[in-house]
Amino acid sequence: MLCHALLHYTDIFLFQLMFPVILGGLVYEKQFKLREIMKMMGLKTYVYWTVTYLFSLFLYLCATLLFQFMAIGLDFAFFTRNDFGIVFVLTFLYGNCMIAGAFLLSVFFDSSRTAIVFGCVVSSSNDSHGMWQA
Amino acid sequence: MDPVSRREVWTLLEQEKRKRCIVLTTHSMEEADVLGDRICIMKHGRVRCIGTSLELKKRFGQGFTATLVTDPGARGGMAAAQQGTNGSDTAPGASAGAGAGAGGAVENTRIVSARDQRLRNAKARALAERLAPSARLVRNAVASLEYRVPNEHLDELTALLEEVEQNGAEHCVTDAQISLTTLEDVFLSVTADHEEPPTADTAAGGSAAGAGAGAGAGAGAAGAGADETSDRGSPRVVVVSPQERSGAAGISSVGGPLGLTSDPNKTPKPPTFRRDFSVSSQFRALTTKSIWVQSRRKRTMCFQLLLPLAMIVLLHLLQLVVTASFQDIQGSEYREANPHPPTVPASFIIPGDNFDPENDCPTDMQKPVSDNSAGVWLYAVDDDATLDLPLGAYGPSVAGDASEIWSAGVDYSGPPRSGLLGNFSRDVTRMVAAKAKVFPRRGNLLVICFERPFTIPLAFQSVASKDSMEKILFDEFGVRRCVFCFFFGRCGGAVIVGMLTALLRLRLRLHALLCISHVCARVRVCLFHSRASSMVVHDLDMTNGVFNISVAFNETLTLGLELATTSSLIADAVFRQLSPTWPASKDDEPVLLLQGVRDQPLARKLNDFDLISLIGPSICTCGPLVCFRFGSRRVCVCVCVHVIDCVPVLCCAAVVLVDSL
Repeated sequence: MLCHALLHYTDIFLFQLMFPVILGGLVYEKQFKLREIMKMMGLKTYVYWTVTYLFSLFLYLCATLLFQFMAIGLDFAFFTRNDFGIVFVLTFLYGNCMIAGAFLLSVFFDSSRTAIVFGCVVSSSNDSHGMWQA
Repeated sequence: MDPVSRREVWTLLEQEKRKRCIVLTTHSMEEADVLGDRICIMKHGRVRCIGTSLELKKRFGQGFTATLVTDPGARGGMAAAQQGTNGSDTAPGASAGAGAGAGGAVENTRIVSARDQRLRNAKARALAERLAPSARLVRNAVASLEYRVPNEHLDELTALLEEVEQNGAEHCVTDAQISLTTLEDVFLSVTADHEEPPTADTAAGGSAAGAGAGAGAGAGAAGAGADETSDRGSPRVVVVSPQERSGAAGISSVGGPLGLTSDPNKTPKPPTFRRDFSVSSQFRALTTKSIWVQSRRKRTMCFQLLLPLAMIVLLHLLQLVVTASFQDIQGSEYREANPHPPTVPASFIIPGDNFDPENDCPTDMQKPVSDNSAGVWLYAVDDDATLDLPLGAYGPSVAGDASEIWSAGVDYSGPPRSGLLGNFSRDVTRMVAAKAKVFPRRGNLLVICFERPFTIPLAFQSVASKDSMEKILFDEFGVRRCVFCFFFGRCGGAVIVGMLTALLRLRLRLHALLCISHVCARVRVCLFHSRASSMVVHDLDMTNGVFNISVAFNETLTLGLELATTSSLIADAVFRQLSPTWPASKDDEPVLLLQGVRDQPLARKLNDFDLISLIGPSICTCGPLVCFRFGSRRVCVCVCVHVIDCVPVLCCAAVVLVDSL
């Protein structure tokens, strides 16, 4: 029973741990002009965004899969009784949205520290996805 | 910096440059030589050359420097040492002879006259010019001659050294030293022949040349980025001169010992330093960069990977503890009070306005059940039944026969009912909540029984019975699994997934969360009325002409409140959403049976909670939910799925747009 309530507050938090990290990394590169330097070296913008996106997604998927396997190993009903594929699709879609959200939010920050704090607050307040709602 | 601290800094840099890429700019050639793994010489803001120290020296250095020592004192020392070694084979004798020879050398030095020294130098020069004609005398000191031997005449140097080694004494050469040219020479030779005055733009960059020492040591890929990728692993000197940007192919065309042919008449071109910046190399470089950056962030890695795992392990342990304690309490209590549990679930009936227990109540629920120990409102509705409703804090306890209770428990003359069930349902749910607090494990499941089958108006307007509905579903749509989802407020996560799976006919084993079930006898309905208290209607059982909707609540900590609000909400919602026009007449008004199910919680297994009902909406509502009306119904369409897919793309586009503006 207690776990129900705990999970209610931790579930999405677990999947959202990447959010401040991605956001912080993006803002960090912006803050210290690393992105500008790379551009001066001839990096194309779309290459930067594509690689960052894919790499974040890759990391997210690693973390998520690890989490899922662990949960299956511990016999959590949600992961054992639901099909693996559908849970994976869910979390995959969610990861896409989260990374894209981090991209969008990174525009509004100039300090990576602020961004990370904001990301942590947002992801733990469980309301970050509210902004995506129609 | 003083030499000591400079040495300290060098040591520090030497340590730190492993697995890193440090770009160091310096004017000290010595520093560049010591620290730099790859050295790049720039002048007027233009890269002149880049390569390792040895490569640069080989390409641009002026060969070797051979120093011939003509000091007779040194010869004397050598000779004495030679004699000592030859004279006695014993070690003490040798050292003694060497000591004596050294003493003689000091003495000899003083008496060598300047004229004698000049003669010796002349002899040595004659030897050098004979054996190494291409060597250039750069310094003629008192007791030493310094020659530059170009790289291409190394054989001459060899011959000279052999001659000196064998019979140097004849030529008055007592010692010979060779050394590579210093980086200073390289620097001078690289930059010396571009002495044209700097133009306005290059002057800003400073005319002093700096040597950048790129120390991509170790794995070398660290942070090197796009700069390193094009020619990593093939270290070569890239020479960029104003006249000719020569890559590997251009090296042979650069003639002369200086490595650079200069033509001062030509004006320098704008910076032409360029690498191969193909897109694929950029992709590779950025990925490498990301991997390295990520691998350095140890804390972040822990945060991402280990914390979720730790969390779920913690929850598992917690679950074990909690479940064990609850099962023990309830199990013993239940067994004690109820050795033979009844098979028919007991019922509590909320009557409508014109409730008649004799006619309106299902017959199978009229059996008296005397089991109060199961925890939740176990009452038989019978003509002769004596009811006992301990409303507790929510109202006066009621006891008596059925008709008395209905009139006592409900204030029909009160304010107008807000929902279908109105105040009365709230009273009942409050009571349920009070009970549920006492027995939380059993209180979290609630079955609402509807007395007669519903018409589900979404697509089956005319369907009246379970059989025909099942038939239509199977025949017309070919679905074996079916989803019925109803939007309350901002929900919809499970709807999307459910519709997706139903439409794609994924044969997935979905249990509670995704509200998918066989059409045959059960249709799972998913109801969320808010994210704070989401719930899942487990079963919509249409057998026997009765809709059984079992509701699982997730918020068990705040069970009392949740149950009270959610059950009334769900009742209203079910009635409104399923059939807004129904009941059409007073006769059709539904009778809601709130039924406590006692055995179901006990049947639940370990870890058997509906995590997905919590995660589902949270995950999916992150995408904008587009629901629109189709007729009089809010329809969930698979467009939602596409919308979710579009979100990242749109966001990326927006970011790139904002970024590029």
